[in-house]
Amino acid sequence: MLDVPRWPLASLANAAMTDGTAAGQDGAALLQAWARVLTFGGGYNTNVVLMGTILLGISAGAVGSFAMLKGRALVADAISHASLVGVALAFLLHAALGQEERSMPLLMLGAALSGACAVASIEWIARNTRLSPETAVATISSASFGAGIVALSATRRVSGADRAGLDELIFGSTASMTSADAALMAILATTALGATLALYKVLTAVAFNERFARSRGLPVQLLDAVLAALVGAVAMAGLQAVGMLLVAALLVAPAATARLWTTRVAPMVVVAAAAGAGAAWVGASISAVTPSAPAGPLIILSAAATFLVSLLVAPERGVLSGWLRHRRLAAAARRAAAEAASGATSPAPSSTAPISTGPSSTAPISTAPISTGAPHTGPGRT
Amino acid sequence: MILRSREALAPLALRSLSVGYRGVPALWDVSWEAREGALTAIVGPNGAGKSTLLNAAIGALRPLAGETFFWGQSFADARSRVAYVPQRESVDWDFPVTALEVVEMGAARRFDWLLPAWARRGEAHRRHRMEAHSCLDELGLGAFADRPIGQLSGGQQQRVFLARALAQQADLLLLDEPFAGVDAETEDALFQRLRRLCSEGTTVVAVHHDLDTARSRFDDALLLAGSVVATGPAREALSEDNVRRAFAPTSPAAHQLA
Repeated sequence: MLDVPRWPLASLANAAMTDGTAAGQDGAALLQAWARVLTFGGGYNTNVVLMGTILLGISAGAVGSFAMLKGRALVADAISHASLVGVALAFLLHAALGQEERSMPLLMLGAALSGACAVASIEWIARNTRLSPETAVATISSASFGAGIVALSATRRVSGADRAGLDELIFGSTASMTSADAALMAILATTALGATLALYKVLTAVAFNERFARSRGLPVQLLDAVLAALVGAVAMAGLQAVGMLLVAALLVAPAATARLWTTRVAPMVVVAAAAGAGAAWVGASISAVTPSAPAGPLIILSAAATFLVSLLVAPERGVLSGWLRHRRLAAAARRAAAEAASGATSPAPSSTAPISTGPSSTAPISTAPISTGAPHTGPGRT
Repeated sequence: MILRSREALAPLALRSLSVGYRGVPALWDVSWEAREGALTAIVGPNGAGKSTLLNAAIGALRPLAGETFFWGQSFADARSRVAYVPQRESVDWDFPVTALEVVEMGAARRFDWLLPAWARRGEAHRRHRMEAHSCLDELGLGAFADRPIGQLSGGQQQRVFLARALAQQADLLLLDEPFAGVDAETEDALFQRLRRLCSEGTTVVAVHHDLDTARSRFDDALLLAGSVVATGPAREALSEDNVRRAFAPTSPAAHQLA
């Protein structure tokens, strides 16, 4: 194992849990400890890891937005699944060289290489066959995951190696992160974020209308590769904190959340970054005070909870607002139908109301005010 | 070959252009020149290679053989003088951009792409915005500038695309089905605008579906059915006889368009 300072708070919380006399006290102590970590009072190493994870969340939100707009949200999933092969092979290589300690950069390099292979295969299939990109992603993603499991089982036969570290990479664990690991994560995440913001305009143009972008002389294929590399960089950065299986969700969920609240790219990227940061902040801090709960799943659950709430209450695209609008419109339509029906049956001598022979529900449509209150119908040409 | 001055060369010239997908020919040995300042329709049954021709011309598809020239130059060299409008269905209209932002993409010149919107403060930025606004105004979309494109009707979306092409201030417009899903009133307005562009010297080449309007509204026509069936003034090129040959009984499209 590594001889480095661990999260001091993990042991602190452990002590709080075992010392407590009543369950209520345990809970209060835990909440207190959590509040302390949330407000960056959890000690140097805890803070470094927490801030690194938040940076990862910001970066994942921004990069994930463009991946989603490009219709390549699943590529993140393929990269993360494929990185398992690379990590396992890098681990085997590492063990074969007789190294004792786990080398994070080497594992990341392995993950990056296998992720790049996966993306290249997907793009090749999507461009050169009639299969849909979706099919290409699903095939490559599951195939490389299978290869990863096989490679992983091979690592079991290597004796004396730090396999525990390998498992942490699959499900993510901030508890075993050193401040050097966190710094590496932060640097990768910041680089990806910076590149995304610098390329903001071209990435938008290519995602919206690839043919047009190409006709204007933008290097579309290069930009596709750059976007894949950015997704890969975030996936590598999140390898340790979130875990290779879950990092894809951190790229997709904040972007999907942001799309529910916004109608333009720039606000969407900002909201996605904020959602990613929030999920990372909450998830990683909970994990810091409850060492048995790994950070990765907690971060993803926070992101998913935000998405779920947004899905319900978002003003324009939310489920609730859509349901309310539908109900209001249906009520208006029923009112119009009732008015038309009563007009037809009431004995008005000079009425020119159309004759209705059926029940009230079959009132002629032509008398209903169709255009009033209908959402999303732009006014006609003026 | 005798060297002519660049101005005398056709805005768009295809030389023995052939394109195929996976061993199936889509366009075979097409040689054709667009007349400068004319409104030209590319007509033909489904699968005749109309969109393929435009896409191959702008280099989005690699031809099997043949070449395309714009005023005697390659597309890469003439890029700034050519505006391409893809089919409306080729785009995700739920994309989070406003009409104005789409048109601004047309106004962007070579190096503007490298500067994100929030980094551009100053003369060039203001000019682009004004250009984009006036292009939207011209097509009667001034009131919709800040609206997400997903909230626009099909005809309005088509006009946004045309406004983007106008913002490019190109000398040659390549339009892929610009009147698809457009109501009669909008179609009329679009034709008037295109006609004015032509009178100012711009060349317009549009893939078109309707034979009647192709005859009555366009100057020239290129009748395609995999290869060239007829070219020339629209009424002559689209004569009953030529059309019957293009929409041969082997083509299922013949029934729909007869």
